[in-house]
Amino acid sequence: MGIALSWKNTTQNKKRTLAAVSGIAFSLVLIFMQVGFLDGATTASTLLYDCIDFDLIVTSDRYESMMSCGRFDRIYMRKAAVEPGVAGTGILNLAGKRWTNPDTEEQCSILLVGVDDDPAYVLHPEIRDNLSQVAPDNTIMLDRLSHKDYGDVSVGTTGTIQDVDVRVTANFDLGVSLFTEGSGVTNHKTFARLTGVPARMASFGLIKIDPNANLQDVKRRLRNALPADVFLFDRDEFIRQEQAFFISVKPVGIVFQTGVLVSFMVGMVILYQVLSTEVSNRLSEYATLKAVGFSTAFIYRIGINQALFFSVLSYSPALIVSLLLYHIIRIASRLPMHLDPPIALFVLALTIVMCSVSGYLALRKLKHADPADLF
Amino acid sequence: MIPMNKKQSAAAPEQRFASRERTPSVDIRDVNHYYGAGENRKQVLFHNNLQLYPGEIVIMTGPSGSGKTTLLTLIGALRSVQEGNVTILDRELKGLGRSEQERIRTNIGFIFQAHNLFESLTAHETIRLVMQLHDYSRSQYVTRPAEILTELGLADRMHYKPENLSGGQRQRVAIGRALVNHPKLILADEPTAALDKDTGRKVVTMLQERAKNEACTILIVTHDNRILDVADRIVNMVDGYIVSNIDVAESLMICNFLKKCKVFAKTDPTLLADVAGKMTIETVVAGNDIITEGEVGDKFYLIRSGTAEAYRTVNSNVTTLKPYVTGDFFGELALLSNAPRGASVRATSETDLLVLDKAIFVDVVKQSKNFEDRLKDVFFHK
Repeated sequence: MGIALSWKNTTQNKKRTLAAVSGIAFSLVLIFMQVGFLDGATTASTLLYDCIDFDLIVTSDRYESMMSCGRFDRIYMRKAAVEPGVAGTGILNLAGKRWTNPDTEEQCSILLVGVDDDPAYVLHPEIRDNLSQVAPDNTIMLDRLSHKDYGDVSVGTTGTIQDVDVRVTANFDLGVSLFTEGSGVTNHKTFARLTGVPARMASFGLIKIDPNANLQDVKRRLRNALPADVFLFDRDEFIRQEQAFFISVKPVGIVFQTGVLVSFMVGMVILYQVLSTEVSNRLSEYATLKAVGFSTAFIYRIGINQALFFSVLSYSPALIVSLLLYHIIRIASRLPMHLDPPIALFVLALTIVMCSVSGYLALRKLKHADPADLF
Repeated sequence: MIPMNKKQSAAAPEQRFASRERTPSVDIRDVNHYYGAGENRKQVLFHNNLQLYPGEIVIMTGPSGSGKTTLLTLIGALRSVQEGNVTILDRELKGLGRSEQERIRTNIGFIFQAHNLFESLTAHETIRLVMQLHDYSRSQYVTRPAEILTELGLADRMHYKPENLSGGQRQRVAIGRALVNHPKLILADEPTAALDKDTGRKVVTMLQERAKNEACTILIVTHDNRILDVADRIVNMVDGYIVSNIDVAESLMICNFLKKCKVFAKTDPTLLADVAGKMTIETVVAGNDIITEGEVGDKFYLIRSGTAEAYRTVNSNVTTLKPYVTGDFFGELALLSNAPRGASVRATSETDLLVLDKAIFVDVVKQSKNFEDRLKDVFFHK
């Protein structure tokens, strides 16, 4: 009956309940969006590394993240290759350049990825299988999911990068990050030509270790063997580093996190307003419940139930609207936004925290419900 | 000379008889109450003593601010007792924690002036909700609210919310809410204020039946004198003091007895009720003297129950002069004439006596005279 009373209290004034639920649901949709953007961008930021196979990675000591990674002399990798426990080494080059659409002359940013011709370091099946297609000079493998301003990206098209004509000889699916509008894979020679970076310089050194070697042992040995002007990370460290840079250093990440916080506050304020009005309006009813012998806990439960009802009533439509919006955004921007269970649960948890906090604040008024005032 | 063997009752008049028979369901002893703290501390109840018995309907009146409400909230375990003792249904309330107070309140039926119904619940649901405080079977949760609402004349309004009920209907739902758990104590604040004469009467009759059939104690704070007739006792409070506490039936009986006495025949009812309230009770066992011949008279006696006889002893010969039964009185002559007692009176069975002190007796007689004189004055000037 306590639950029935809470429910009836919640739904008694349908107009007000609807207004409250829409307000809270709106703030939840905002949270869903911000979380989705953040998650999508984070996923995008490491999308490239998911295509590359390595156990350890060498970077310049000026390395901050993918887009400002510095370069080091690839001769170091020779040194690394002879260390015990190392199965093999490879090179990965990255540079941001501009792609000129041959039809419209429009320019878009492009992430150029220079890879070895050895398929051992490539995980992405399409890229791996097409490595031979980009062996000739001035050929490029383009991401089909690049921005639509790229124009036609299919095989046979010729675009321009740094005034050099490049021919598209293969395609792959990757998706864009927030930094660039598209990406293309070339061999190291073409990469050097298109970017002007000396061929002996490398962005990343990839290291694979023997299957039965201990990762940390190898890492320690390599650290001693390599000069001090390079960093050495294992895979997990590196991915975390990239994501952390993106989330906590890059303004985009901070903007989205602030967005989540602000939306959360907005939702909490709305819910607090609704609940506190509810408590004020029913103060004499609560006092009556106390007077006839219901425990204080019972009365608090009514308030808490109502907070829960409001959050569930708001969460469900917010989830449905957000699923729809994610879908639209994914199609429109090609950002990898997926409303998967972790995000749904995270927002649900935020909702519950939101309703607990505002419920607690609103219910503090209950102590003013003095049954002795009823007579 | 045989010494008088009398048990003098020190208790307040309202418990003259009841106290010997039953334990009170509400027992208030020497209660003081204060509001505020420090310099602003203000005493609102002064030495309140009150005993309410099972089956009694007690009406409490008094001007606003007289402390009725405070006393009511103390009895209802809605406030903590500060000084003195309050015992409700055999539970001492002083020093109880909040949850113990809550538990005691589940055995009390509350009727509020502002009915305080739950806006979101129908009449049926409202009653069902408070039934939850006690154990009932599943089917009773459906049938009992229906029964009680039908009894209150709300059969066709059972599934209406308060917004669709009139003031009187709402109050009846509130009364149903108070009655459904069959509490042994019902506290009501102006229960008939919002009701028309007929509905008010119906409600009061229902309360009366509860009191009689279930030995339930009902305390009603009201200014509605249309319902005074149901009161077994009327308690009047002024400025935090219980200034009068009249057992209606008892007082009526005493007044009727007193009126038979020539001395009081012309006393007006206000004064007579006052006298009735001032009489104390004494019990004398069979064979013992109540009055001894030759002593100076200091009391007036009225037999409430039992029998007695007047006698004289002359040379060891006892001559019985006159038997006394319930309603008879004696002792007034010695008081009026200031003479020694002219005869002895002894109880012939265990006898309850209502006793009036000489000072009060003389005072009343004097006032009656004044009244008579004043009346004559009125006639004269007509």
